[in-house]
Amino acid sequence: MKKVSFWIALAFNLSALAQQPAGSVYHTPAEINGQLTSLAKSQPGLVTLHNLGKSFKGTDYQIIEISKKSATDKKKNPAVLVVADLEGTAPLASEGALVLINELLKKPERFENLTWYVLACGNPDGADRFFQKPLLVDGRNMRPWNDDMDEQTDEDGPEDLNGDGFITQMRVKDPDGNYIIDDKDPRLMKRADPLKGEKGIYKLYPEGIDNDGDGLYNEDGPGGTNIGITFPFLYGYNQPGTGAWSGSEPEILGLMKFMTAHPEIALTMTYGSSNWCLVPPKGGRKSAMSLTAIKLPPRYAQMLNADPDKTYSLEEVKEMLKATVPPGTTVDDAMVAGMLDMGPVINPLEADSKIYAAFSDKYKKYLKEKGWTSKRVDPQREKDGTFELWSYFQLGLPSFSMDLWAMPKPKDSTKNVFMAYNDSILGGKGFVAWKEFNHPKLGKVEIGGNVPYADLLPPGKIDTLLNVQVPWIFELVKQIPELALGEVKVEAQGAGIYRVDAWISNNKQLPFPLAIGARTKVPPPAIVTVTGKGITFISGRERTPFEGINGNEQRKLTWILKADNPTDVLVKVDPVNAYGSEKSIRLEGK
Amino acid sequence: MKRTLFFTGLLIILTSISTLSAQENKIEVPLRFDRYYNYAQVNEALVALNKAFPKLTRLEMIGHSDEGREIWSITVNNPASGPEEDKPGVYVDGNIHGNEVQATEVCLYFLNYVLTNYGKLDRVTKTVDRSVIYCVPTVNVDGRYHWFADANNASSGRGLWIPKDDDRDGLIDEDPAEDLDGDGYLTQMRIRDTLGDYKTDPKDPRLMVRVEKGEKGEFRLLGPEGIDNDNDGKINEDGPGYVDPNRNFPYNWQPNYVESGGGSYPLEGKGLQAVANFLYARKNILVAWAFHNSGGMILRGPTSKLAQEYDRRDIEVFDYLGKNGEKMVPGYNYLISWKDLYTTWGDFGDFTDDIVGAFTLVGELFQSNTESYRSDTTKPAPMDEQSTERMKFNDYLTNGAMYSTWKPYKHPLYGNIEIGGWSKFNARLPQPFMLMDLVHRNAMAVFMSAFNLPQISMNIFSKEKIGDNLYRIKVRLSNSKAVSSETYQSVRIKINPMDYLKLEGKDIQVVAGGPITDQFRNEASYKQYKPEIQFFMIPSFGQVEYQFLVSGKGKLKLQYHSEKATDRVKEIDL
Repeated sequence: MKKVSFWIALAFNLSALAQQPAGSVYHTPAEINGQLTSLAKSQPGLVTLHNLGKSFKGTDYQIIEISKKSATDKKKNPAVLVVADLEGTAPLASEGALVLINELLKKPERFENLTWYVLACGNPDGADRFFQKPLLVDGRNMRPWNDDMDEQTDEDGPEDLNGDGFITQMRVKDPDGNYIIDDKDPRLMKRADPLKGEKGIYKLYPEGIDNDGDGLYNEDGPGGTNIGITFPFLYGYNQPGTGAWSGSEPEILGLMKFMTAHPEIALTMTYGSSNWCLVPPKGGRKSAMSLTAIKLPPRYAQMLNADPDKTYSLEEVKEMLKATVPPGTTVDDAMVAGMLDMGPVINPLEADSKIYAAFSDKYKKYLKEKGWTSKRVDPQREKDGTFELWSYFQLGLPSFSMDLWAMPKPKDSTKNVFMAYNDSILGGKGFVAWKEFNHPKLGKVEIGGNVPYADLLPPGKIDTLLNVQVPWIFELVKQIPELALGEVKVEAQGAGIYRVDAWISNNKQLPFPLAIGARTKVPPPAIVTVTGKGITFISGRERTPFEGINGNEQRKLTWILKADNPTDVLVKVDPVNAYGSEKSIRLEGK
Repeated sequence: MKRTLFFTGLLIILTSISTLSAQENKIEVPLRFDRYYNYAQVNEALVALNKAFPKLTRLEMIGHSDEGREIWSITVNNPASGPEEDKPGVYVDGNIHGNEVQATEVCLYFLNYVLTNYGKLDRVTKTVDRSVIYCVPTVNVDGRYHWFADANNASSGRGLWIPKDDDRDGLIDEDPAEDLDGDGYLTQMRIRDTLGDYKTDPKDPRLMVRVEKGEKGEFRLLGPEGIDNDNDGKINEDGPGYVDPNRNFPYNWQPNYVESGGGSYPLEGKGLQAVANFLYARKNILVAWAFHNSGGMILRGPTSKLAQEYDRRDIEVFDYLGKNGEKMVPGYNYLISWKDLYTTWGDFGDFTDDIVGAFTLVGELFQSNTESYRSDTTKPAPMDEQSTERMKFNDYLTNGAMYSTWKPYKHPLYGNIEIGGWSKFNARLPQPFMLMDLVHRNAMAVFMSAFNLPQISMNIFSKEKIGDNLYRIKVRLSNSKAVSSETYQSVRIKINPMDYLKLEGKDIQVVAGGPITDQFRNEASYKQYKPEIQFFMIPSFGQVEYQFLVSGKGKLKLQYHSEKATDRVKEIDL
């Protein structure tokens, strides 16, 4: 009985999609901003709004900060940034962010030692289109853009010809067509395969008319930039929807500025279309240079005493380099990469992939504990130019992402995933049956296809779903590196000279920094300071930059100090985006 | 009250002093090029040009730098010959690297030359009348300000003034170089050391040479002038900046770890944002020049191997401008940036080539071997004589202005050392007496490219009646100049709408239309949809030909529109 009512609610939701359920399930950008503003008013001190600028259409682009009241406490704490719906087509992501904000404010201990930055509406202009009619999945910001570079701009967009509130598809019999009806499911179209003796019958078009009469359908509709794919890593230069350049839209420029101004951010979470919590970021991109088979240019081969015709691994090159650099110089991947002009890292580094895999196992276990055992379809791969990619590959941060929901995997694996879901769960409401329509130019056509968003948004209520998914981040942030001072050993050498050995351990699972962070050199090192009255340094310095410590690892730092008179000495580990510690030691003087 | 009076009095005195010195150094048109202008004087010069030519010029503040200085542009356009946006534009800027100062002088000279010769020289008048010149003489205004105001050398002060923690020690810009001896230049430090690698040059006691194997040394070099401000064991390791403005543009951009100076994100520089927006808003810009120093080169893109080589139609245009430039500025080489020099990411030239859609050339001004002391300058001095020759140049042609002789100094870390070396006016930029030749020749290379902006004419070369109210019309659009009507690259990567020819008339229908494939047989490749509008670009010194079948009566309007080149309209009667 319960089940039935659930399906009714769901069916209602879907048919309501066309009528825009604003305010009911999903919140418009204006409503989200309204909520943030009232929170800032009602919770001054706890809640701060950072206005990063205005979107193309003039909506405020705001990050909400939830943190400790006192500025000094805040300064000590690392931070986490959560961004939602940057691509504009994941309204569920923004709801996730709103749930997170509420969760945070309910429990002050969550921000006692951690500053939270949440960008709840990452693409206001794109997200607003979800609330417009007719519905189509398009998160671009409506900036005028001449897609086909003809004499007009935005002159040929889609039209809801059958008036059902959705932009679906048109199929029309055409001698040039290369589609046929799928024999397994007559609702589906497939490309004819001449090798199998199939001959195309249909042409497929998006629903609409050829407004400018150039023979193309909907090739230059109102669109503009999808700001969510304009971050500078794997940015699609001169690709559709990527705008003029990376950062040409004020939102993204503002966000990049914000990230640069807030080095205390230790981890980022993207609520959107990919899911790096479940499936670690994938590699496999073709690199200009292989890390396992490096060919050394002749001049370096000579310098390193290597064979210019042979190939070497990165490790081998590092070993050779160590023999040639002055003592005390650290030879790392970054040094080799710079020397050999290897260009950017484009695949996740092996050490980091292991960490992502460990977190993915944890997440799956977490879901199991919450009673989520049913199989879902694999998450979409992240798009080029997305925030989650930028955060990992250029900022060098632990970057996680969640799609928050996906369609269930059909029991019968030969079935079309969406149709199986549509039939078994949506009761067929996710598909508009093909229906004849008299098209002004094409004549007799049929209009039909998937209901926009039917595969992207969960049926029914979203609270239960988000109440499981959102708190996962509270598990992740527990693993932000903590650089703890263990034993600090003081050994008197005589004549007021002391040897001080300090062990620093990272007691958490995340390394400080990730391998990618060590490469990009963006995450700031911790500064270890040794201060005391009347001490002089025989060896070591007052300030020592410190980084490169994996999870559950420890490292030793040594100083030789001279103290003629008894004094207290403070050893302090001061990281920017991790937890630090300090210890006082006593030197007894001469 | 008394106090107010006192201050007023002071103000009057101060004002009179500054007027006095201003009169001595008054900047007026024609501008002088036997001297360098500092940041404030450049702005004064621009105001002077604008005042002298109010009808032909527009002065515009396009934005602010990272330190809040104003960045100015000047536009040269004759409104009487048509609106600015309808004419092809040439853009020229300079001094994006703070220390590469003479680039600004080239811009100022170019403006000064074009404006003072307008109405006098026919080529100048005609070129100005049919084109627009956009000029941002100084891009890195903070850099220029500091290079003149602070102690520097010829290579220092290149970057943007955005504070950065170069050595990642949690302190920002805490260990810059210092002008310890107070001579206004950042020179070198050396210490007497028999174990050192250097000894006095036997040919000139001011210079040093490396010791031979087994020979006793005299000096050890200690690097550029400075102290270890933050006591971290390194000297001058974290000076102001460092973001390199010419690695911070948003095309093929890479972060710092891939390329030093890339910055945290594209267009991190506020002033660069202003310049980028200025360029992007002016769709008619078709040629762009950026001046740097040094080496004597005219560079074109692409700037990395990954970016494809340009289409041959674009290379033709680049080659015409570049090879002409080589001859106009003797000694300069026309080169391909990545191939002949090195790969750069986030280069300004990529922005103008691949986002603005302009043919971009970079002028690397000055060759240090012109600081010569020899009768035959056609052959360069041998490597081991270059320093001694420059010293002779310094003695005989500048009377010692280029060099600070070694003087003792008590350094907090090294003790008794000596400080000395070349001043900042050396090796990368000409002495004032050589400036005129440099600015003129390079400005003329820019002018040559403006002269070659596309000049399109429309010729309806055939109109035949082939049926009842049915006509065959043939139209030719020709370009009499070297620069094509747009770059092929901009068409290929879809950043620029194509040029088009559109036919319309009240009672007229265009039945068919397309590019002519056979002139004599009246054959054309007819376009299936919208035959009344045809898209193309017009090549360098070339033409396109179209044929239309038109039915109806009355006036037929033929309209050529180009985002870059000047539009043409003709009307015929059917």
